[in-house]
Amino acid sequence: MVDEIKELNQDTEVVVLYCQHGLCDEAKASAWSEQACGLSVRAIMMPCSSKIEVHYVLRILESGADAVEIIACPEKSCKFLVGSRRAEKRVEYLRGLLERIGYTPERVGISRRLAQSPQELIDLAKARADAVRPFGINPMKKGEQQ
Amino acid sequence: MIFAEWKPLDELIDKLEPHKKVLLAGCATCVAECAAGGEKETETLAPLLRMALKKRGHSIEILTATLEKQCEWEFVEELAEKVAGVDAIMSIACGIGVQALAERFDPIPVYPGVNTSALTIREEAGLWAARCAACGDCVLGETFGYCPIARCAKSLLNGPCGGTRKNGKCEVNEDVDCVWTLIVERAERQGRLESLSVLRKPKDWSNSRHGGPKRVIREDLRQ
Repeated sequence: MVDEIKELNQDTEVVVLYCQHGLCDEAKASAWSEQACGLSVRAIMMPCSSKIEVHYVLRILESGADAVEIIACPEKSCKFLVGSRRAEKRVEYLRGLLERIGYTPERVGISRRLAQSPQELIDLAKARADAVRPFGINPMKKGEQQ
Repeated sequence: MIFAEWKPLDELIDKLEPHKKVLLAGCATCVAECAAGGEKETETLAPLLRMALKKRGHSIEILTATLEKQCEWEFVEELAEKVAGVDAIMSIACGIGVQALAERFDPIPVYPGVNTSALTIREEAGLWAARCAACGDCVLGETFGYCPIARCAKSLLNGPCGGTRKNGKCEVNEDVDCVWTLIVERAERQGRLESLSVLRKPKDWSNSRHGGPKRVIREDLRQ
Protein backbone atom coordinates (compact mmCIF):
# COMPACT_ATOMS: atom_id res chain seq x y z
CA MET A 1 0.00 0.00 0.00
CA VAL A 2 1.56 3.25 -1.07
CA ASP A 3 0.33 6.75 -0.36
CA GLU A 4 -0.26 8.81 -3.45
CA ILE A 5 1.93 11.85 -3.14
CA LYS A 6 5.54 11.16 -3.91
CA GLU A 7 6.93 14.66 -4.01
CA LEU A 8 8.69 15.56 -0.83
CA ASN A 9 9.52 19.21 -0.89
CA GLN A 10 9.16 19.93 2.77
CA ASP A 11 10.38 18.62 6.11
CA THR A 12 9.17 15.22 7.19
CA GLU A 13 7.09 15.85 10.28
CA VAL A 14 7.34 13.23 12.97
CA VAL A 15 5.51 13.37 16.28
CA VAL A 16 7.14 11.41 19.07
CA LEU A 17 4.95 10.30 21.96
CA TYR A 18 7.11 9.04 24.77
CA CYS A 19 6.52 7.48 28.15
CA GLN A 20 7.85 9.65 30.96
CA HIS A 21 9.16 6.60 32.81
CA GLY A 22 11.39 5.45 30.00
CA LEU A 23 13.57 8.54 29.92
CA CYS A 24 16.51 9.97 31.73
CA ASP A 25 15.83 13.25 33.60
CA GLU A 26 17.54 15.28 30.89
CA ALA A 27 14.92 14.26 28.36
CA LYS A 28 11.98 14.83 30.66
CA ALA A 29 10.21 17.88 29.30
CA SER A 30 6.47 17.73 28.77
CA ALA A 31 6.81 18.79 25.13
CA TRP A 32 9.55 20.06 22.86
CA SER A 33 10.35 20.34 19.19
CA GLU A 34 13.39 20.14 16.98
CA GLN A 35 13.85 21.00 13.33
CA ALA A 36 16.86 20.20 11.21
CA CYS A 37 18.03 18.51 8.03
CA GLY A 38 14.63 17.90 6.46
CA LEU A 39 13.15 16.62 9.67
CA SER A 40 10.71 18.30 12.01
CA VAL A 41 10.20 16.56 15.34
CA ARG A 42 7.55 17.34 17.92
CA ALA A 43 7.89 15.34 21.10
CA ILE A 44 5.15 14.96 23.69
CA MET A 45 5.62 13.25 27.02
CA MET A 46 2.90 10.86 28.18
CA PRO A 47 2.30 9.51 31.68
CA CYS A 48 2.49 5.98 30.24
CA SER A 49 2.48 4.64 26.70
CA SER A 50 -0.77 2.86 27.53
CA LYS A 51 -2.42 6.29 27.70
CA ILE A 52 -1.89 6.68 23.97
CA GLU A 53 -5.25 5.93 22.44
CA VAL A 54 -5.77 5.00 18.80
CA HIS A 55 -7.78 8.16 18.18
CA TYR A 56 -5.01 10.40 19.55
CA VAL A 57 -2.64 9.07 16.94
CA LEU A 58 -5.23 9.30 14.19
CA ARG A 59 -5.84 12.93 15.07
CA ILE A 60 -2.13 13.61 14.80
CA LEU A 61 -1.98 12.00 11.38
CA GLU A 62 -5.16 13.76 10.33
CA SER A 63 -3.60 17.08 11.26
CA GLY A 64 -0.83 16.37 8.77
CA ALA A 65 2.07 14.74 10.61
CA ASP A 66 3.90 12.35 8.30
CA ALA A 67 4.56 9.81 11.02
CA VAL A 68 4.12 9.06 14.69
CA GLU A 69 6.74 7.26 16.72
CA ILE A 70 5.79 5.93 20.13
CA ILE A 71 8.50 5.26 22.66
CA ALA A 72 7.36 2.70 25.20
CA CYS A 73 9.20 0.91 27.97
CA PRO A 74 10.64 -2.57 27.45
CA GLU A 75 8.47 -5.49 28.52
CA LYS A 76 9.84 -5.87 32.04
CA SER A 77 10.42 -2.20 32.75
CA CYS A 78 6.87 -0.90 32.44
CA LYS A 79 5.90 0.82 35.67
CA PHE A 80 2.32 -0.24 35.12
CA LEU A 81 3.36 -3.78 34.14
CA VAL A 82 1.35 -4.12 30.94
CA GLY A 83 1.21 -0.51 29.75
CA SER A 84 3.79 -0.78 27.01
CA ARG A 85 2.36 -4.11 25.86
CA ARG A 86 -1.02 -2.44 25.49
CA ALA A 87 0.56 0.35 23.51
CA GLU A 88 2.17 -2.18 21.20
CA LYS A 89 -1.15 -3.92 20.59
CA ARG A 90 -2.85 -0.60 19.86
CA VAL A 91 -0.16 0.29 17.36
CA GLU A 92 -0.69 -3.05 15.64
CA TYR A 93 -4.45 -2.43 15.51
CA LEU A 94 -3.95 1.12 14.26
CA ARG A 95 -1.58 0.05 11.53
CA GLY A 96 -4.23 -2.40 10.37
CA LEU A 97 -6.80 0.40 10.22
CA LEU A 98 -4.45 2.62 8.24
CA GLU A 99 -3.80 -0.14 5.75
CA ARG A 100 -7.52 -0.66 5.28
CA ILE A 101 -8.03 2.98 4.28
CA GLY A 102 -5.04 2.98 1.94
CA TYR A 103 -2.49 4.68 4.18
CA THR A 104 1.00 3.41 4.74
CA PRO A 105 0.97 1.53 8.05
CA GLU A 106 4.61 2.48 8.58
CA ARG A 107 3.39 5.97 9.41
CA VAL A 108 2.99 4.68 12.95
CA GLY A 109 5.75 2.86 14.77
CA ILE A 110 6.68 1.87 18.28
CA SER A 111 10.05 1.37 19.92
CA ARG A 112 10.11 -0.41 23.22
CA ARG A 113 13.27 0.85 24.83
CA LEU A 114 14.60 3.15 27.51
CA ALA A 115 15.87 6.36 25.94
CA GLN A 116 18.97 7.80 27.50
CA SER A 117 18.84 11.25 25.96
CA PRO A 118 16.74 13.63 23.87
CA GLN A 119 19.11 12.87 21.00
CA GLU A 120 18.07 9.24 21.16
CA LEU A 121 14.44 10.29 20.69
CA ILE A 122 15.46 12.38 17.69
CA ASP A 123 17.34 9.42 16.25
CA LEU A 124 14.24 7.26 16.60
CA ALA A 125 12.20 9.98 14.91
CA LYS A 126 14.75 10.08 12.09
CA ALA A 127 14.46 6.33 11.65
CA ARG A 128 10.68 6.65 11.45
CA ALA A 129 11.02 9.49 8.94
CA ASP A 130 13.35 7.35 6.83
CA ALA A 131 10.78 4.54 6.91
CA VAL A 132 7.97 6.73 5.56
CA ARG A 133 9.92 8.99 3.19
CA PRO A 134 9.69 6.51 0.27
CA PHE A 135 5.90 6.74 0.50
CA GLY A 136 5.82 10.51 0.23
CA ILE A 137 4.14 13.04 2.45
CA ASN A 138 0.97 12.40 4.36
CA PRO A 139 -1.96 12.62 1.89
CA MET A 140 -3.75 14.81 4.44
CA LYS A 141 -1.36 17.58 3.37
CA LYS A 142 -2.63 17.45 -0.19
CA GLY A 143 -5.12 20.28 0.30
CA GLU A 144 -2.54 22.44 2.02
CA GLN A 145 -0.19 22.09 -0.95
CA GLN A 146 -2.73 23.19 -3.50
CA MET B 1 -24.87 -6.68 26.21
CA ILE B 2 -25.93 -6.15 22.62
CA PHE B 3 -22.87 -6.94 20.53
CA ALA B 4 -21.91 -5.09 17.36
CA GLU B 5 -18.85 -4.77 15.12
CA TRP B 6 -17.80 -2.11 12.65
CA LYS B 7 -18.94 -2.71 9.13
CA PRO B 8 -16.11 -2.97 6.57
CA LEU B 9 -14.51 0.47 6.29
CA ASP B 10 -14.89 0.51 2.50
CA GLU B 11 -18.63 0.12 2.91
CA LEU B 12 -18.78 3.06 5.33
CA ILE B 13 -16.60 5.23 3.12
CA ASP B 14 -18.79 4.50 0.07
CA LYS B 15 -21.90 5.47 2.02
CA LEU B 16 -20.46 8.81 3.12
CA GLU B 17 -18.80 9.77 -0.14
CA PRO B 18 -21.82 11.64 -1.59
CA HIS B 19 -22.18 13.76 1.56
CA LYS B 20 -20.60 17.01 2.72
CA LYS B 21 -21.45 17.20 6.40
CA VAL B 22 -22.20 14.15 8.48
CA LEU B 23 -22.92 13.41 12.11
CA LEU B 24 -21.26 10.27 13.46
CA ALA B 25 -23.29 9.18 16.48
CA GLY B 26 -22.09 6.73 19.08
CA CYS B 27 -23.79 5.18 22.07
CA ALA B 28 -22.16 4.87 25.49
CA THR B 29 -24.00 1.74 26.54
CA CYS B 30 -23.77 -1.77 24.99
CA VAL B 31 -21.75 -0.90 21.91
CA ALA B 32 -19.26 0.95 24.10
CA GLU B 33 -18.83 -2.21 26.19
CA CYS B 34 -18.04 -4.22 23.09
CA ALA B 35 -15.68 -1.49 21.82
CA ALA B 36 -17.60 -0.83 18.61
CA GLY B 37 -19.64 2.31 19.13
CA GLY B 38 -18.68 4.17 22.31
CA GLU B 39 -17.00 7.53 22.56
CA LYS B 40 -13.53 6.14 21.86
CA GLU B 41 -14.71 4.33 18.77
CA THR B 42 -16.64 7.37 17.57
CA GLU B 43 -13.54 9.53 17.94
CA THR B 44 -11.48 6.86 16.18
CA LEU B 45 -13.81 6.30 13.27
CA ALA B 46 -14.35 9.99 12.51
CA PRO B 47 -10.72 10.86 11.64
CA LEU B 48 -10.35 7.52 9.90
CA LEU B 49 -13.28 8.27 7.60
CA ARG B 50 -12.11 11.84 6.99
CA MET B 51 -8.64 10.56 6.09
CA ALA B 52 -10.02 7.87 3.80
CA LEU B 53 -12.31 10.31 2.00
CA LYS B 54 -9.56 12.91 1.72
CA LYS B 55 -7.44 10.30 0.01
CA ARG B 56 -10.26 9.82 -2.47
CA GLY B 57 -10.15 13.57 -3.05
CA HIS B 58 -13.31 14.29 -1.12
CA SER B 59 -13.37 16.66 1.83
CA ILE B 60 -16.07 15.99 4.35
CA GLU B 61 -17.01 17.50 7.68
CA ILE B 62 -17.78 14.86 10.27
CA LEU B 63 -19.24 15.96 13.59
CA THR B 64 -19.26 13.50 16.45
CA ALA B 65 -21.54 12.88 19.41
CA THR B 66 -21.90 9.97 21.79
CA LEU B 67 -25.22 9.63 23.55
CA GLU B 68 -25.70 7.87 26.85
CA LYS B 69 -28.31 5.71 25.10
CA GLN B 70 -29.41 5.86 21.49
CA CYS B 71 -32.43 3.69 22.27
CA GLU B 72 -34.19 6.22 24.50
CA TRP B 73 -36.01 9.20 23.00
CA GLU B 74 -34.94 11.56 25.79
CA PHE B 75 -31.28 10.99 24.91
CA VAL B 76 -31.87 10.99 21.16
CA GLU B 77 -33.32 14.48 21.48
CA GLU B 78 -29.90 15.74 22.60
CA LEU B 79 -28.73 15.36 19.01
CA ALA B 80 -31.28 17.76 17.54
CA GLU B 81 -28.97 20.76 17.61
CA LYS B 82 -26.06 18.95 16.00
CA VAL B 83 -28.23 17.34 13.36
CA ALA B 84 -29.30 20.73 12.05
CA GLY B 85 -27.22 21.31 8.95
CA VAL B 86 -25.92 17.79 8.39
CA ASP B 87 -26.91 15.97 5.24
CA ALA B 88 -26.49 12.46 6.68
CA ILE B 89 -26.06 10.61 9.95
CA MET B 90 -23.99 7.51 10.56
CA SER B 91 -24.87 5.68 13.76
CA ILE B 92 -22.53 3.19 15.35
CA ALA B 93 -25.11 2.15 17.93
CA CYS B 94 -27.00 -1.13 17.63
CA GLY B 95 -29.84 -1.45 15.15
CA ILE B 96 -32.24 -0.01 17.71
CA GLY B 97 -30.26 3.22 17.91
CA VAL B 98 -30.00 3.48 14.14
CA GLN B 99 -33.77 3.15 13.80
CA ALA B 100 -34.42 5.65 16.57
CA LEU B 101 -32.30 8.27 14.79
CA ALA B 102 -33.89 7.46 11.42
CA GLU B 103 -37.34 7.93 12.92
CA ARG B 104 -36.55 11.10 14.85
CA PHE B 105 -34.54 12.84 12.15
CA ASP B 106 -36.46 11.78 9.04
CA PRO B 107 -35.81 12.70 6.15
CA ILE B 108 -32.06 12.84 6.85
CA PRO B 109 -30.53 9.53 5.73
CA VAL B 110 -29.20 7.46 8.61
CA TYR B 111 -26.61 4.78 7.87
CA PRO B 112 -25.60 1.96 10.20
CA GLY B 113 -21.88 1.93 10.89
CA VAL B 114 -21.95 -1.41 12.66
CA ASN B 115 -23.45 -4.85 12.25
CA THR B 116 -25.41 -5.87 15.35
CA SER B 117 -25.04 -9.59 15.77
CA ALA B 118 -25.53 -11.07 19.22
CA LEU B 119 -26.29 -10.79 22.93
CA THR B 120 -22.99 -11.47 24.62
CA ILE B 121 -20.95 -11.38 27.76
CA ARG B 122 -17.33 -10.26 27.88
CA GLU B 123 -15.56 -13.45 28.92
CA GLU B 124 -12.20 -11.71 29.16
CA ALA B 125 -10.55 -8.62 27.73
CA GLY B 126 -11.09 -8.71 23.98
CA LEU B 127 -13.26 -11.83 23.98
CA TRP B 128 -17.05 -11.75 23.80
CA ALA B 129 -19.30 -14.79 23.62
CA ALA B 130 -23.01 -15.19 22.97
CA ARG B 131 -25.10 -15.94 26.03
CA CYS B 132 -28.68 -15.26 24.97
CA ALA B 133 -30.65 -15.60 21.75
CA ALA B 134 -33.67 -13.60 22.92
CA CYS B 135 -35.79 -16.64 22.06
CA GLY B 136 -38.76 -15.51 24.14
CA ASP B 137 -39.17 -18.82 26.01
CA CYS B 138 -36.32 -19.10 28.50
CA VAL B 139 -35.18 -22.60 29.48
CA LEU B 140 -32.25 -21.61 31.72
CA GLY B 141 -34.10 -22.95 34.77
CA GLU B 142 -34.00 -26.44 33.27
CA THR B 143 -30.51 -26.27 31.83
CA PHE B 144 -28.60 -25.23 34.93
CA GLY B 145 -28.08 -21.67 33.85
CA TYR B 146 -26.50 -22.47 30.48
CA CYS B 147 -28.40 -21.44 27.36
CA PRO B 148 -28.54 -24.25 24.79
CA ILE B 149 -30.23 -21.99 22.27
CA ALA B 150 -27.44 -19.42 22.14
CA ARG B 151 -24.52 -21.65 23.07
CA CYS B 152 -25.18 -24.96 21.30
CA ALA B 153 -24.32 -24.86 17.61
CA LYS B 154 -27.49 -26.83 16.94
CA SER B 155 -29.58 -25.15 19.66
CA LEU B 156 -30.46 -28.58 20.99
CA LEU B 157 -32.93 -28.79 23.85
CA ASN B 158 -32.04 -32.41 24.58
CA GLY B 159 -28.29 -32.59 24.17
CA PRO B 160 -25.54 -33.41 23.84
CA CYS B 161 -25.60 -34.24 20.16
CA GLY B 162 -23.00 -36.99 20.16
CA GLY B 163 -20.40 -34.96 18.35
CA THR B 164 -18.79 -33.54 21.46
CA ARG B 165 -15.00 -33.76 21.31
CA LYS B 166 -13.11 -35.73 23.94
CA ASN B 167 -11.90 -32.50 25.52
CA GLY B 168 -15.45 -31.23 25.95
CA LYS B 169 -15.35 -28.85 23.01
CA CYS B 170 -17.99 -28.43 20.32
CA GLU B 171 -17.57 -30.43 17.12
CA VAL B 172 -18.41 -27.33 15.11
CA ASN B 173 -15.80 -25.09 16.75
CA GLU B 174 -12.91 -26.44 18.77
CA ASP B 175 -12.55 -23.15 20.64
CA VAL B 176 -16.06 -23.32 22.03
CA ASP B 177 -17.15 -25.44 24.97
CA CYS B 178 -19.93 -27.95 24.28
CA VAL B 179 -22.65 -26.31 26.33
CA TRP B 180 -24.32 -29.63 26.98
CA THR B 181 -21.13 -30.91 28.55
CA LEU B 182 -21.18 -27.86 30.80
CA ILE B 183 -24.84 -28.49 31.62
CA VAL B 184 -24.20 -32.13 32.53
CA GLU B 185 -21.16 -31.25 34.62
CA ARG B 186 -23.03 -28.60 36.60
CA ALA B 187 -26.01 -30.94 37.06
CA GLU B 188 -23.61 -33.56 38.47
CA ARG B 189 -22.00 -31.05 40.82
CA GLN B 190 -25.42 -30.04 42.09
CA GLY B 191 -26.50 -33.68 42.48
CA ARG B 192 -29.41 -33.22 40.10
CA LEU B 193 -28.26 -35.15 37.05
CA GLU B 194 -31.52 -37.12 36.92
CA SER B 195 -33.42 -33.93 36.08
CA LEU B 196 -31.81 -33.99 32.66
CA SER B 197 -33.47 -37.31 31.84
CA VAL B 198 -36.77 -35.48 31.53
CA LEU B 199 -37.47 -34.92 27.84
CA ARG B 200 -37.81 -31.26 27.00
CA LYS B 201 -40.60 -30.69 24.51
CA PRO B 202 -40.27 -28.44 21.47
CA LYS B 203 -40.08 -24.81 22.46
CA ASP B 204 -42.78 -22.28 21.82
CA TRP B 205 -41.07 -20.04 19.29
CA SER B 206 -44.05 -17.77 18.83
CA ASN B 207 -42.64 -15.34 21.40
CA SER B 208 -39.38 -15.00 19.45
CA ARG B 209 -38.80 -13.42 16.04
CA HIS B 210 -40.77 -16.24 14.46
CA GLY B 211 -43.96 -14.77 15.89
CA GLY B 212 -43.62 -11.59 13.84
CA PRO B 213 -42.54 -8.14 15.02
CA LYS B 214 -42.56 -7.94 18.79
CA ARG B 215 -44.85 -5.44 20.46
CA VAL B 216 -45.33 -5.41 24.20
CA ILE B 217 -47.88 -3.35 26.06
CA ARG B 218 -47.86 -2.78 29.82
CA GLU B 219 -50.99 -0.86 30.70
CA ASP B 220 -49.67 -0.10 34.20
CA LEU B 221 -46.81 1.89 32.65
CA ARG B 222 -48.73 3.69 29.92
CA GLN B 223 -49.84 7.28 30.13
